[in-house]
Amino acid sequence: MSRISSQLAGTLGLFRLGLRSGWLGVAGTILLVAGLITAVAISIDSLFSNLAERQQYEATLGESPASQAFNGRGYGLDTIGGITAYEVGFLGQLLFPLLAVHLALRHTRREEEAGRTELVTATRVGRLGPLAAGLLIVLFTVTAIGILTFAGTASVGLPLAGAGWYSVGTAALMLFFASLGLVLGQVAQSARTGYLAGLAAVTAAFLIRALIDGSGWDAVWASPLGWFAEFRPFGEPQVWPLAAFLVSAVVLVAGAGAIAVRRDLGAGILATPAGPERGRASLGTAMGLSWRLNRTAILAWSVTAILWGGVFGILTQEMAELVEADPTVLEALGVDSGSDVVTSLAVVVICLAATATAVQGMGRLISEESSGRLGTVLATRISRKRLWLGWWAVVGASAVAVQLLGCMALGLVSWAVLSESAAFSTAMEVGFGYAVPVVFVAAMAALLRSIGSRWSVLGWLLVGWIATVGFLAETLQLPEWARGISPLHLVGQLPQDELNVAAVLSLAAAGGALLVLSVGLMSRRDLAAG
Amino acid sequence: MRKSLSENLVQAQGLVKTFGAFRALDGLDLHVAEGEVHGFLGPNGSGKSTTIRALLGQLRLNEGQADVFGLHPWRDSVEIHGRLAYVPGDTSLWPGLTGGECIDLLGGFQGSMDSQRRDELVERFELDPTKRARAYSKGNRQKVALVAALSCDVELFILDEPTSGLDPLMESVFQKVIAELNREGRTVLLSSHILAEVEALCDRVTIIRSGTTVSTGTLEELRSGTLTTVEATTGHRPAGLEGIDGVTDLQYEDHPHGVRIRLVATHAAMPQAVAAVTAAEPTDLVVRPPSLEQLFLEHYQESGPGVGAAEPAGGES
Ligand SMILES: Nc1ncnc2c1ncn2[C@@H]1O[C@H](COP(=O)(O)OP(=O)(O)OP(=O)(O)O)[C@@H](O)[C@H]1O
Ligand SMILES: [Mg+2]
Repeated sequence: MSRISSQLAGTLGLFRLGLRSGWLGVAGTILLVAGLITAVAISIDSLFSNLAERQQYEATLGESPASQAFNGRGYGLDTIGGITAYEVGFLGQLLFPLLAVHLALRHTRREEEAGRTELVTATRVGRLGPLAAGLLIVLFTVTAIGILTFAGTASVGLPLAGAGWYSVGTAALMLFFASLGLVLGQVAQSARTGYLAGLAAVTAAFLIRALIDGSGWDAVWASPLGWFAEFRPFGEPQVWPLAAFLVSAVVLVAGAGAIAVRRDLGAGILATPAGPERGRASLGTAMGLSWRLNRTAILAWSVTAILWGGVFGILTQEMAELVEADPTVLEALGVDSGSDVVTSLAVVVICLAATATAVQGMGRLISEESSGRLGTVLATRISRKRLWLGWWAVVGASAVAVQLLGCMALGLVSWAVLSESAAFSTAMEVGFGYAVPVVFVAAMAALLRSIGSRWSVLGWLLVGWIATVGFLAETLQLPEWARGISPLHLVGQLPQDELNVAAVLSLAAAGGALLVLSVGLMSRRDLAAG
Repeated sequence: MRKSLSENLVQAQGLVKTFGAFRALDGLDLHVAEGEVHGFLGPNGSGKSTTIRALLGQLRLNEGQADVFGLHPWRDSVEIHGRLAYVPGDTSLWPGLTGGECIDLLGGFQGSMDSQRRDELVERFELDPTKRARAYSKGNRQKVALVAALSCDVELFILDEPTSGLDPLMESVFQKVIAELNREGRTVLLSSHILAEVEALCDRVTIIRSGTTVSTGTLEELRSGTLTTVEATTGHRPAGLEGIDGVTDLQYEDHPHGVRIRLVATHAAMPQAVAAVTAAEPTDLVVRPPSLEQLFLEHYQESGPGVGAAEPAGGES
């Protein structure tokens, strides 16, 4: 007993330290989650004030397998709360878990990687201190999210019991994924590896659930994201998902603790094998370096995009069957064919993977610069301009490749399940149509990065905004100018709309201008370290 | 003493660099002549790394004239970089790459790495190039950076505390390699806190403090600007010591065999002072020049050296 308590020594101090150094991230996470849910609730409350409208919603979108695949199962869809939960579903099921994993890694592995954990654990801090402090930060954050979400949804006028259950469910969902993040923080030796593993886990959980819900299989237990909807806060609430989340979280945290007391500080649990004695000649070029340092992330995003495309390709069949049974659905959804509904939503996700590739690839230069490695490379014969452009070219090309690979997977699988080659050509047209907006985001990321490392975060906000406009523009009744901030929206909602060629050309020109500007800024300013 | 302008590879005059309100460099001068190993010394935070980074074109100077190979560090940085190799003060390597890959990466960018020399240096520094960078010890990380820089075929090496973390064996390998390079006629700018290394390698040194050059010259010249202690036991009191310009701290003490004398003399006053003491028939005589540590401590201290520097800072050639 005293052994455990000595290993936990210093936890409270570390918890306060973590809050002080990471308060912005903690506050941002809390406000983002509670704010998103409340905003959707407010909007739904004004959009669907009368029962008949809600019943129509339940009969169309609520029944559509594609919507269920994206949003998760809907319960109590004739109530404001039910529709709110359903609409939050898609974005929420990706965003909330990813934020939770990020929060956990930010407060454990990243501190350790930076060498700060080594400093503090040399004082009177026990071996479990850093992990326990990370857990406290997670608990603090999810509790605050629960309370604020409850306050927000209740103030919109949702029934208290439903609002309560929904808030508890959201907090439990995030606690579960944060616990997973704590385990990843113990296993992975670098935070980046942890993030990628977390992304893989969230993608897998989402796709498994999407497949099950889209196909109507009776297997909601198979994915933690399936449990989330099964709280049924605005239908008939169930307790078992809460128990499932809490028990799994406890098991995960215990696992993380078991690893933490056994492993070496600074290490993961996998030993790094020896590697090549020499570097390839390409390593000494701007593009070679960019590829080498970004390739793991690029591969991870490619696999994500391909999986998304593939799984939603399978779901086109469900949608086609629905349309065959009831052609009026087409009109209600404003599309020509069932597979278009799936394509238009799946492609948003694929574009997110592509833009994330771009923003992450440019963001990689932050640690390169702050560690002084960029300075060391630039102390050689290569000019800033060449390094910058070479790096960007690899990042931009990979982003487009991720985009096209995802759309190709979507197109090929829909072609296979529908036996319609048109499905493939539509998917590829959409893929090419959004290629320029993706490149534009890459250029924007380059510009933000060239201004300074603090600005890079705006690139992620842009990706987040693209997601928000893609999934929730109608729900949140966003004004046109706000939608226009998303470059995807500017070229039109594909494949329903015609591609806006003028917008594509302007975006290409603007992207080129941003890139030129970023080169100018980069070659003019001081390097942060070196 | 100082070589003429055309032979200076690095020529910096009145450098000023501010970070917000803070003046990291405040009128700093640095002249590195072709073919010399030039020591660059100063207390922590005095601006050595900042100067070096400005010379590499990583920082833009607020004021002052700097040129390297007669070129402008900011505008012509790429051309300059092709002719030099650099070891940064804080070596950070790419965590996922092996040491060998890091070396070849930098060599590829540099473009003039001699791969035979690279292998030879890997051997001499006893480096295992197959380890991942994150698994290296601090000293081994430093070796990677050293091998990458020292195997380049360049005219100038800029080394910012290159041996921090090296063990004494490796330190001596480093000194041998630098001495060899210098014999081949290559120039080295060496920032260092290791005085033995400076004494063994450097032809000339520049000492800075708070962003300003306080002295520059050969070690002998620096020594000549400082005080020497003389201690002796003589049969009788020497005459005329009090009258010598530059003799201070004169102390007499009675002793069974005569008088015990202790005095401190400047370089210029030495011959006269020693002559006066010798005339008094000493039974023992100790002349103690300041140790290197004392020498530098005097220059490092904010109050300034007790005596004038070898050459006034900021003087024109
Ligand atoms: N990017 C920066 N922003 C603000 N201040 C800086 C920056 N870089 C350096 N400084 C300040 O400039 C001063 C000189 O720093 P520099 O790194 O050149 O010192 P140094 O002589 O190399 O010291 P050391 O011997 O410790 O390596 C320090 O006070 C440092 O804090
Ligand atoms: Mg320094």
